[in-house]
Amino acid sequence: MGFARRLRVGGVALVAVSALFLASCSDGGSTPEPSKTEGATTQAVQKNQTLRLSITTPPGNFSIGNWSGGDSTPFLSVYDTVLHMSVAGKIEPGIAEKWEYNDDLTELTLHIRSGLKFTDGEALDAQAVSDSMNASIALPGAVSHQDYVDSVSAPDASTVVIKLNRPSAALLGTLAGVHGAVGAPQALTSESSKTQPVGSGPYIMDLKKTVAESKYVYTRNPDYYDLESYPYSDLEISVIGDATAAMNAVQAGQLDFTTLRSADQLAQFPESKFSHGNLNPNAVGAIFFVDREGMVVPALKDKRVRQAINMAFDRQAIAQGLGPGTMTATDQMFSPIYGSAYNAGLEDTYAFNVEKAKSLLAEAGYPDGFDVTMPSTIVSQAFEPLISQALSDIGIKVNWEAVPFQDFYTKVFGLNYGMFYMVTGFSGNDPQDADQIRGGAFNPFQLSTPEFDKLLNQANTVEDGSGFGPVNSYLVDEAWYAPIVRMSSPYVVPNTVAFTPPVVNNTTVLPFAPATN
Amino acid sequence: MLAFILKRLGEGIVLIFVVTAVTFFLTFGAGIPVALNILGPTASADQVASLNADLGLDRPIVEQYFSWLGGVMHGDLGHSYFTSEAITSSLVHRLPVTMSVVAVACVITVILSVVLGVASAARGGWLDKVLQGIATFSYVFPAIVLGVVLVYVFAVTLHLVPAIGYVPIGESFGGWFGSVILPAVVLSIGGIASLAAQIRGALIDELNKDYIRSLRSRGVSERSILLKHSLRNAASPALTTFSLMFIAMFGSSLFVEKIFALPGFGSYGYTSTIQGDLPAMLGVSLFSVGLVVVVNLIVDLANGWLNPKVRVS
Repeated sequence: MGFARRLRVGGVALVAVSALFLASCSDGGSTPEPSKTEGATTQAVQKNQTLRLSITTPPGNFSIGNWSGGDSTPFLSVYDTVLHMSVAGKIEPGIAEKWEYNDDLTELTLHIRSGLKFTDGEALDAQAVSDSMNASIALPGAVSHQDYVDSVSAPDASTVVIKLNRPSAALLGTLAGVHGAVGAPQALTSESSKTQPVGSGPYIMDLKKTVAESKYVYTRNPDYYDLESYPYSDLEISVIGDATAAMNAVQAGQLDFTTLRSADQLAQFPESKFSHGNLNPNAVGAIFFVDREGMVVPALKDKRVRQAINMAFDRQAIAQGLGPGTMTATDQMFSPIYGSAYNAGLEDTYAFNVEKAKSLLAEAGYPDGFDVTMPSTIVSQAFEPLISQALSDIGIKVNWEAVPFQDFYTKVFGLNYGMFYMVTGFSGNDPQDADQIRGGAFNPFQLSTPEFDKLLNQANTVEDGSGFGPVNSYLVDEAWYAPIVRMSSPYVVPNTVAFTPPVVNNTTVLPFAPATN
Repeated sequence: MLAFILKRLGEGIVLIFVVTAVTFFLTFGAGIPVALNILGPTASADQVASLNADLGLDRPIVEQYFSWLGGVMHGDLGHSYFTSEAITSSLVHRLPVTMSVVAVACVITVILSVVLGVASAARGGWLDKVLQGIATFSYVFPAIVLGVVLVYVFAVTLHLVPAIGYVPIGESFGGWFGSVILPAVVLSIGGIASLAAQIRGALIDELNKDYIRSLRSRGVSERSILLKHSLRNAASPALTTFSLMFIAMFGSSLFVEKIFALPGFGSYGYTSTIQGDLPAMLGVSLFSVGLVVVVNLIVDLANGWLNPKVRVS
């Protein structure tokens, strides 16, 4: 039949046309050959090379004081900060080239660099810094923790004075993060600043190429005072919510960095084309005993109960089982890679010991255990079977209550739970970490003790933040938390990119540079 | 005809009004702690109250609804609570992405379904069995697995198309086609089987009717019988199936947009729902219902063109 033959021919033609179309599209998805970055070639690459990164959720509001958390790279690429935090976690000069405290650490004086300008041409002087800091404090921003700041003023064009109601070792770190960002005064309160930021940072947002919530495109700010630290001429940050898509994009040559969910996935990235390593620990997963006065769960008032729960977990087995190569067992809420709060000697404080845990529960008056309700969230789900099993072994029955994550804070602040599992990220210094784990949703009952307050105040009187060892020891001994694992991730970059794992991930592009070999 | 179109449009507007009203009161009445979600866990009660006031969430819900509705009448769907982007602008940027993928998926579905359905019905025998087998396999094969395989082969290994992202058609036609072809193939794979089966069954019914025998007795060519007479009559039920499939594809676009990191409508709806971004959720609802109304209207008109008997009804 003639018609049937034509159908066959048509089908073949369709396939052929499709193949031709695929071939014609190949330029869009081709992988650039790894660049040779020696000598003069290196300079050429540094002048005209784009760094392509991804974030999992769209950035929020760009106006000063309104950054809603998450990866701050889109924000801190366009805004410069009062101070800088190096890749190694050291506080360094930023907009302020020098700073000093008064004797009792209640007044910080910042000396602003001269000759700085915002990308709209406005002068960046002490008044501009003061305006941004006041905006950051006044506006409802996330995780500000700046209740210790009394006032910020600019007595002259190159000096900013921050007066504190009590010493805080967290202040310098705060000034090196999103709350130390400085925006152009004329744009501070404008609606446009929410989507069209005007700063003085290393990059300028390209508003023509940026597609909100999809891709953020930046070009180099030629007037930035430290261009050497930012060798890429252009920056593209794509919103990619799916981890597999990000991996595919790196393999296809469309992205320059991704983290992996497990070390097993490294096999997909041949060393001939990719480099890999492990990020520094970036978070700790723990049970937060927020009801230490026993208002909702009476048993939690007794320190021995909290200690018993700590002893119920075989942390090594959990780390090996859930995240080989990405999780490390820990008894502590502080990071081992910076500061002095972390104490390796405390890691055996609550070694896995079911019999001793049962004994402690019996001493506390709970020989048969008790029932407790915990919120089940997207964060806790992977750990729930392990937590249920471990606590069941010592007689504690956990009832998991499903809570959509958007309702989590409301339920926690409503004092519905005496304890819950959550992950908290490391900030890059002990003082900020200490602020974080004792505030907000991590302390909804607003509990403390005179002993802890005294230790905290003492720690905050050490300017460089090195006084938090006793704070950590107290928290471990009193078992305010049951830390389970520290978390990290393997990462992969193409061989064209040199990446130095920073102490705090996802804040700036400082860890990235074109490879030089 | 004009009266018919106006009547259907009027019904569509009522439907849009009802669905968005229900969506509004369900979402805004659900008590999602928007301000707390934006500010984070350390926000004070004063900060939360201040932001609620800024967002207008401290007003009575009925007042909020009429305020939103008034904005819609003027083409203003409000701003995202989280990014401050205008919802209209976000949807305008995202709709072409999803529409591109769905349109190409539709073209693939229609071409392959018609080829498979007509060939099966016309030839029968082993070809029919083989094509039915292929169609059934494509129906049961998990599209998400196909997506992963296609990305690995064509993007990661062969570098023929990009693994992620969308290129606007105005920027580069080849780039646009490359960015949507794999998602479109994944989206169409399940639909081809059902539409091909629909066409095959309807075509076989038509070919067994008396008027076909009369046409053959008059010496009308098989090609003409198949394409001019039978296929046109068989197209009406297939068109209805296709319209449902189009809407389903639009709804299913979320998972291909996740796999291919496409900044489309589905991922926007998903993200806004997860964040509790109420204006964005309402914008997505409004556009989705509007799309259903428009597609149904087009299908009704197309059915009327194909089959004059249905025009009156």
